[in-house]
Parts: sequence; C-alpha cells; structure tokens
Amino acid sequence: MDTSLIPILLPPPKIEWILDDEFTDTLAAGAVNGTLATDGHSLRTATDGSGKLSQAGGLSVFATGGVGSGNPGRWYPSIPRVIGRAVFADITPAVAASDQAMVGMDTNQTTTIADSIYFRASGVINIVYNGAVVVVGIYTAVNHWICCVMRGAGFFFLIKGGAFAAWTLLLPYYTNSATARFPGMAAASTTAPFTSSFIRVPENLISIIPIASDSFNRAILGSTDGLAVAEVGGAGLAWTGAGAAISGNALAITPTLGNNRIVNGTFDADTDWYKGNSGWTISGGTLNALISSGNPSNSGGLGQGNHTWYFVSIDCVALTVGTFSLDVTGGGDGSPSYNSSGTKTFTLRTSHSGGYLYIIASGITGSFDNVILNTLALTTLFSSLQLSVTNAQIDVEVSALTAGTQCGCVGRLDSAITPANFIIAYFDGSGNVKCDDCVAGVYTNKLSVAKAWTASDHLLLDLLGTAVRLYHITAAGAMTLIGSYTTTITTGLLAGVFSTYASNLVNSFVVWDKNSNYSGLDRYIQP
Amino acid sequence: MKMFCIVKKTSSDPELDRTLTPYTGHGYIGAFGQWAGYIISGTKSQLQAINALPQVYGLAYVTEAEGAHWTELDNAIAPAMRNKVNTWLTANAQAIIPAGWTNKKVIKAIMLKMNPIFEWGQHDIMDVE
Repeated sequence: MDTSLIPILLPPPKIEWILDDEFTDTLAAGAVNGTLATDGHSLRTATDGSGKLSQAGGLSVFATGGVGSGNPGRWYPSIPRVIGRAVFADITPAVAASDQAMVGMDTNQTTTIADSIYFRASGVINIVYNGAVVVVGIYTAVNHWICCVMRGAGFFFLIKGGAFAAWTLLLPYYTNSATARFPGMAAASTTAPFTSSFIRVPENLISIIPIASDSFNRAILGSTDGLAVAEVGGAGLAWTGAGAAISGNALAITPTLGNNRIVNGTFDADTDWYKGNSGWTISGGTLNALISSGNPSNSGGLGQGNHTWYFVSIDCVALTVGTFSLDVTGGGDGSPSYNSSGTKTFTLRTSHSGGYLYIIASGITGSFDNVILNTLALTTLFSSLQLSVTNAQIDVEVSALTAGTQCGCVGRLDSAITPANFIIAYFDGSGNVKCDDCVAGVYTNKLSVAKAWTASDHLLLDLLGTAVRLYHITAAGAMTLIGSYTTTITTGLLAGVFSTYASNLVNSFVVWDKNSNYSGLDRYIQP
Repeated sequence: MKMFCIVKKTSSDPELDRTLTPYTGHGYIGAFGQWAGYIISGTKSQLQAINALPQVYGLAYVTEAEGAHWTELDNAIAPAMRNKVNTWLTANAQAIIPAGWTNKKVIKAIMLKMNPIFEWGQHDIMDVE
C-alpha cells in the first residue's frame, strides 16, 4: 500500500465563539427581545415595533411590514474594538427590490446599523460607514455571507454569494475608531423581507493585509516598505519606472520629454506662426497682442498625434486684459483658460490628431514667449509593481497636484516597457476625476466627473472581472463612488502610480486583493 | 439626478460644452458609429437642458433616494423620449422602440448594441453633491 496517498485527516482547530446565534429556538413575532442566543450567554436585544421579527426553522425571519429602517432589528452585546475581530452572518433577501437588510457592527442597539453591508433597492449593495453610504456592488435575491472585520480604525467588508463566487473585499475604510460595537442585523425599510441562519463572532482574529503597500518614507525608491496602512504587509515589491524617485517622503515621477515640436517658439523672427486676425505682431522677440482675439497657430512641421500625452509651456508677459488658452491639435485638446501673466504649463492626452498648436485668445493685450510642446514618453508616466492578481483595489493618495497636470494610479498594466493596455484613474488638474481605458494604445475616457482635488485625497480603483469602480476618498475618510463601468481590459498584472508632471506627489500606495485569497473565511460560515 | 442617453461623440467624449450646458459627470457605456451611450449626472434642469440639444437622445431620467433606487426604470418610456429615440433608431437602421416598453428594457436593448458586456448595476456616475 502506498501510504503516501492516504491523507492525514486532522480535525480542524476548533473555533471558539464570542457570539454564536443559530436561531434554533422558535420564537413568535415580537418575542425575540430579551432571549439568549444559541451560545447561551449573548443577550438578544430586538426592536420590533410592528411584530415582524420571529424565529422558526433555524432562521431569523424579517417579514415585510416593519416600522422602517432598523425596525425590526436585532443586536447583541457590545464587543471591544480589537484589530481582526469579525462578525459573520448570512442574509437571504426575499427580493432585490426595496431596501432590504443591513448587517454589521453598530454603535448602539437601535435604528440603522452604523457600519454594515446594506442590501438596497434595485439590487444595489452599499457599504454603510459611519452612517454614510457608498455603492459597492449588485446582488440578487439569493443567499449571501457577509464578514465585517474591525481595523484599528474602520472596517473591512467582505461578501460571498450571488454575483460573488468567492469571498470578495467590498471596501476597506479607515475612519471611525469607536470602541463599543454591537453586532446586529436589521430591516432597511418597511418592505424588507429577508432571512438569516446565523450571526457569529469568532474568538479567532481575521488578518487581512495588503498585497502591496508603500508609505515612501525613505530616501531611495527601491521596493515597497509595507507600511502605508496599519496592516503591515505588501513589502518588498520592486518599483519600476525610469523617472520615479522619492521626493520628500513621497513618490514623484519625472516624465521623459521629447524634443520641442514648436519651431520659433521664442519668436526670434516673424516666421512659422500664422497670426490670424489683425492685432497680432511678432517683434522684439515676442508674440504681441493688442486687444486681440483669434487663434495664432504654429505647425512646427510635425503634427500632433492622437492618443498621445503632451507637455505644453508658454510664457505670458504683461497680460493686462483678456483670456487665453492653448489647443494642442486644433480639435479641442485644450488647456485651462488663463487670465494672468506668468509661465503656464499643462499636460494632456490628445483625443484628436492635428498639425497645429493654437493660442486661443479673447480680447487679449499682452505678449507671449517660449512656447514649448513636447511629447511625454508613455513608459515614463508610470511607476509600477508586479502583482499576482488582476482583481484588486488600488488606492493612491495624491498629496500634491500641479494645476493642469494629471496624477493617479494605473491598473492591469500589461507592460512597463511597452505599455499598450491598461486602466488609469486620475485627477486631471482641472477639477475633474477621470478614468480611461487604453486598449492597444487607443484611449477611451470612461468616466469624467467634476470633483476638485484636495491635498491627500485618495483615488481607489476597484477591479473585479469586467467591473470597474472608481472611488474618491477624502483625507477624513469620506468615500464617494465617482462612477462604474464595464471594461474589456481583464488582464495585466502591473499596478502603480500614474503622473504626468514631476511636481505631483503620491504620499501612499496600497493594493488590496479583491477576491483571490480569502477562502480561509469559509470555515466560519460552516453549519 | 441621472440620465441614460445617446449623444454624438468625438473620440469617446460626448459633444457637450460643459460651460454652456454644465453637468456633474458622465460615464461612457459604449459606441455606435459616431454616437455613444452615456449616463450623465446633474441637476434636473441641467439634464433637461442637455436632453433638449439636437445631438442628445435621452432615454430615461433616474433618481435615488432612501428606499428608491432608479425606480423610474420600471415605468414605460415617456412618449416624447420614445419618439425622439425612434428617430435616431430609424436614422441608424435599427428597429424602433414599441410603445409600452419599460425604460429598463429600452436602455438595455440600446446599450447592448453599443456595449456587448453592458450589465445593470455596473454603470453608474456620481450624482450632484
């Protein structure tokens, strides 16, 4: 007999429960409050103003017709905040129509569950954090298992079931360090029928660590330090990117510029510029306007390509009246509008090809000099890490952003040397957050939302199969879904920082595994 | 408020002037020739102004509130919107939308022409803050 083929069957370590309620006792509607959970010591506290909460057949039954959100609801005694302490439960919404259920950890034993997974109307899953809500996914009326894990501040929320074949991290958040937390579940509206077969808090602590993490608190970029968040992990991954370096305990990327495409950008002679309307002159080494409008242009003899990143700079001297902007291609690939003197720089990605750079002027009096137009080498706009998963949450903290330039993160990047396919999410330097898909070098802007950057704002790019969600997170932890869409970019194992300008800074970078490594949670949901 | 619509595009950008007709944001769903499907967010008056533009074919407005998420999708498409989008469908050699179709059915039918992996719940955009 080949004894090597005999598996060694060892009983799994026994799970000790701080709270274990299997709802095995039958209780009529209105009779749940004040009874003990299955573990024999956890007191159930229920609010049930209209008699819609009962127990039967091993289920906690929330019938439709409750008073409202949080009523009916059931809670358990508080547990202290301990990193890794988790609540597990299952939820089966009867329908996915109205606001259904919320399950998680509450700040009290009444009304809504302050930090929870929230099964909302029309099949939308929200996270409730500190009482605020943010969309994180979709669901159907089937059984789902949920897990809420305490962090030092904030929670991790994970789910399995329905559209989530494996345990999936919905969102981490990192605010709210209140100590007392009451495990609970509650109806979310007056028409919220659902059932649950258990709620449990294991003695074991659940450890969730990032797969990449970097605080950049050092002098040399090298590899990730694993210290961007409280959960230490994700260290030792080597950063790529020729222009990437540490600057003041942050990551800065200095893109490589091509040659200046503007001929006679210093206006040494009255050549090469089509001055358009009257009122424009080239003399004294500058392009001069006297209450002039129109669009002086310069072909440079090169032409600008579509789907290409450019750096543009122009000196505006003695502007006394009027506004101007620049258009790199003549197709609308424009700069912000300027109404003051000084050196104006910006970077942009073209959406058109065109042979001319235009100065778009309106009633302007002033002079221009030193016009520069360079391509930005795409490979030098990224600093990336090699991951082992494509489904991930990429969290970048942008601590400095120069107006008119872009900074954010890249995901599913196929190559650091010859990048052709990737997803970028970024502040555009003009008051917007954007997300672009790039397929074989062709960009499609997928999201464009007015959202001004504030120092230390985060962008979190959430990638799960074909689903892309982009979140904006303030330094105070307020989370907003910028938008979501479906992508055809489902491969690419590089993730990192994206920046078009050397002065932009990234203060921290974190990648969380989305759904590849949480199968160990299954043992806590077994019958 | 949000609006599902078809808008003439340049590259992947809707041909909308955010200075003249401001709005909060747009999400690109997919393309059909020189047109694309979008979800656009803004105030009610902003979205109505956008829908009045000749290069815009609104499909449905949707709203969110406590206990009500895009419930307008279950309503029948508004006659004015159906007439306008049928003009677009006819001009683009596509079958027209019959009366009585729900907004959800109309949007899904049109967006799937533009994006074969269109899926409810996977396309959204930040609303007015």
